[in-house]
Amino acid sequence: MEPLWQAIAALVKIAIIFGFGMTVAAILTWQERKQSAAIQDRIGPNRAAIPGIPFKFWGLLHLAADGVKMIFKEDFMPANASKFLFQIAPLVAVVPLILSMAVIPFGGTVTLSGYEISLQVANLNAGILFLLAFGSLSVYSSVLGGFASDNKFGLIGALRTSAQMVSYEIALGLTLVGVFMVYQTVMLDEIAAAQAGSLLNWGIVAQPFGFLLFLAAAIAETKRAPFDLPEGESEIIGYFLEYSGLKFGLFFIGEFLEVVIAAMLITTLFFGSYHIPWLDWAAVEVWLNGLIGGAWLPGLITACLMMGVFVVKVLFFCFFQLMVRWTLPRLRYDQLMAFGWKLLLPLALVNVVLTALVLVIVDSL
Amino acid sequence: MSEPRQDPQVKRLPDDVMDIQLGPSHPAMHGIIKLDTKLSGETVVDMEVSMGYLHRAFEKMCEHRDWNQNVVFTDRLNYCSAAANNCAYMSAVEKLAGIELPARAQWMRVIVSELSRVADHLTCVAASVMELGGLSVYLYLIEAREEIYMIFDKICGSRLTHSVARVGGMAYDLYDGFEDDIERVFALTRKFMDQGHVMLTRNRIFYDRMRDTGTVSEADAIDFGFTGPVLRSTGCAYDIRKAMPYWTYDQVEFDVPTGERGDNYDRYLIRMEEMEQAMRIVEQAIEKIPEGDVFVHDYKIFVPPKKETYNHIEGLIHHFELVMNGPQIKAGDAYFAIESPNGEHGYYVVSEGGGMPYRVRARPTCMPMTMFFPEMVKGSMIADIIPTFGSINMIGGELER
Amino acid sequence: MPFKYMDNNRELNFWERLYYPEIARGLAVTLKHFTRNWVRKKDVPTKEYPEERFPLSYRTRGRHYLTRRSDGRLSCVACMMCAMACPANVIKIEIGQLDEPYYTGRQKIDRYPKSFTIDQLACIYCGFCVEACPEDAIRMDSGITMEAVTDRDEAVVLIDHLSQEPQSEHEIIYNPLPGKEPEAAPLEVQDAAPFKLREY
Repeated sequence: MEPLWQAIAALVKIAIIFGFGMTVAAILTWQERKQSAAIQDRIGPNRAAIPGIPFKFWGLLHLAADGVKMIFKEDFMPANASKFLFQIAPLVAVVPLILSMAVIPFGGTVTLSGYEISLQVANLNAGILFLLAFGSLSVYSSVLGGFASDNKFGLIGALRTSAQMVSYEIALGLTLVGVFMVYQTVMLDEIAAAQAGSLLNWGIVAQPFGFLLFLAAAIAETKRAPFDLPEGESEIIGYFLEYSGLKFGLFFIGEFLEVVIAAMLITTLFFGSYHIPWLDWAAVEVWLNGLIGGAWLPGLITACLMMGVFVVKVLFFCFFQLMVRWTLPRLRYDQLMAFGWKLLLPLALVNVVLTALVLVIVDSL
Repeated sequence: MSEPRQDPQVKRLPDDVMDIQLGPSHPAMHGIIKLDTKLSGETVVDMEVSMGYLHRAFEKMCEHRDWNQNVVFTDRLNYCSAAANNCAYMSAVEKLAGIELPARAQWMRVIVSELSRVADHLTCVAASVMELGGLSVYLYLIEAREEIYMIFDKICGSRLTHSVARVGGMAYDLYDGFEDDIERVFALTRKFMDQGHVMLTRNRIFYDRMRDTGTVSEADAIDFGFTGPVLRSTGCAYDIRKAMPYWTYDQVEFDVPTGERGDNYDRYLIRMEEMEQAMRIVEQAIEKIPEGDVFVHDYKIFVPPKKETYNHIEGLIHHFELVMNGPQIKAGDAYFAIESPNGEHGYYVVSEGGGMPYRVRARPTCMPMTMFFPEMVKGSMIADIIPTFGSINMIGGELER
Repeated sequence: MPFKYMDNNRELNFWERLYYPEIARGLAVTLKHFTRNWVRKKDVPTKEYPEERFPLSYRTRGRHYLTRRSDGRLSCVACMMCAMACPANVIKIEIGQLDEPYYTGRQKIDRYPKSFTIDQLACIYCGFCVEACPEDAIRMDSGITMEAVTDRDEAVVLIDHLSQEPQSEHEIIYNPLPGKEPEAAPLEVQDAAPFKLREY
């Protein structure tokens, strides 16, 4: 492929995944309010309006209103705060998350004007390990933010975050080992490709037990209820206690980005990524080629369809995470640790052993 | 435990206890109160309760209003159960004056007290669940409470500050259609309570948060003067409605729930069950309430009907007398306590004769629990403060009066 | 008083200790609420407050208003009963003497309120003034809970404001205190004294 085309394709893919991630994260702030309202017999935001237009766009304008509010709020910094760390913490919350979206495939491979293009920004051979590494980088944001803000509540929040994230990284990694063993790879595009065809190829069928464990660990990584101890708004107000304005907004967006990434991971690993059961995308492309023809259109339409399937699945798991968040009370610190170390970790190990046994038996048959 | 091996190169980090002040403005300190807490890590080492942020001189103000006017202050003590406070205060005054209430008034006091018990427990359970993070259950229970407040709005014209009682009776009678409203609202309340049970009671996250936290022993509870659900959670079956029946509580059937361990979970279950029993009492009371007036026919005590005031000089004079000077209560003192939603809520009233009290003293139900609170949470984690503080149901207005 | 509810007060069993089954039950409840509120948007129990309101009961103690007699005069005779009954001391009345007294029922009326103010922010809406009024001159069943003000002084409502008939959506039924039957108040003004008034 020509370098120019390669560069353009890469830029478009970056724009797609970045735009998608940020848009969904922004919309999730609206969805969280609207959905929690529906769960709790309320109505939710519906007041922001453009003067002169009676239609309220289902409260979506509150997103803009919130943005404007955050920009114009006083950027407060405590007098004794560590200036540099305090400034940098919100950035650390968001940047690694955006980067980690690079390895998530949002579609298969399509042919555009004779070029093979895989719908994934960076096909690293470290695969999901890259994602785990960058995901765990975001723990620094809460630790730095809580530590630098010179506040006791913030400090407790920071300590809770570090303990929680470190504990659940292990469980998260171990639950993934089962998936790796089944698909014999750590590269996400290969895992996604392996789930094509029958519904039985999906990760949830191969690893039902692993899915439940992964779900718990992933929600714990997003620092949301029932694992929202770092925030714990009724106990310690949270590690971002002293933040205001856009800096708080970054933490906020970071939290929702984590939700989106968790949903993307669940989709990719367990729910067939961009695949519809018993539908072969290559066949669709061939069929479209015969139907429409042309160098661009069949590939483009297939790519859009694949992305559409992926987006629908991701949105569903965002919805699911919000449902969980608005249903459950919060764990206590020691219970959180016990849940992570005494329940998730042993069960994940058991899962690995069981998967290995099953694989050995299946292979020997 | 042996001293950990210390590398001379490594400077030991300080591991002193950390002073942290929960309150006066802290999300979990509903009402205004400050807990000076010493933390070692997440563990509470020591705690001191400092109160007084909401002191409004209730008792002193009562000495400058007549017997009837003081009812508006009792509304604002435990504002979750205003009607029960009104009735308790007025019963104390009536005990001092030696007034025998008509049966309908007594039944009505039972009804409004039990309704406010449901509202109070709904608030208490909902608030403690909310602080544990379960906001949905909070709003479900509050939705049920809202309907009960609408009933109060229909009875007495106000949702929160009812001012429903007067010396010698009730200011308002039940309205037509009360039974239907009660039936509808109780069905709704039971539905939401069932949903709360599904979402909480056997959920391990909730169970672990509540079970064996904030434990208090029966001996301690009795020593420190606990009453109400917190006392009963320790296994001590003391309920004034059963021990010294007042009004018409001896004519209704109800159970008094008791716990076993004296922890938050017991208190939660007791409150849930007491709501059920309170609804049972109201349903029985609606069956049994007789016809008649809800006030005594004594113009020296209770204002004459408006018809008399408008048309007869006799009524007008009594009306003026009562409004200007208040009901004349003979000298003496009396104490009357009810089983308010939160425990023994009593009023000690002293009269020198005349229209104004010489002294009014309210027994705050949550005071003993709040003073004992540090002992309940010492040694547990900072997160345990939240459900424990919620389950003792500290109401600032009542605590500091 | 032994007790029976304790079937809930037991240790968690194995399935309950696993977290997931009970979480699924909880999710079912929230999902039920979510779908109901999402599908039938009109049935959401929450009201959009300023546009739609809960029906207030006819006993609701709202903002006060002063009634008028049949000839349009204020019924208030400035007897100060309401000011005296008010636990919050928010009613301030200035007494005025009428040059020409008028007659209603059995009464000769020669006083009127020169000014009549209620501080709405200090008012506790207890209804004692309505109870105390011997002339049915002040009522609280206006259905107005509180008017929005931008200044504390604006909340002190003057006689002009109070004496306007409330523009309320709900039907106003007068229910004086106490008693069950609504009583009509003597609001008719008569041409002359129906009986001989004793001169002092």
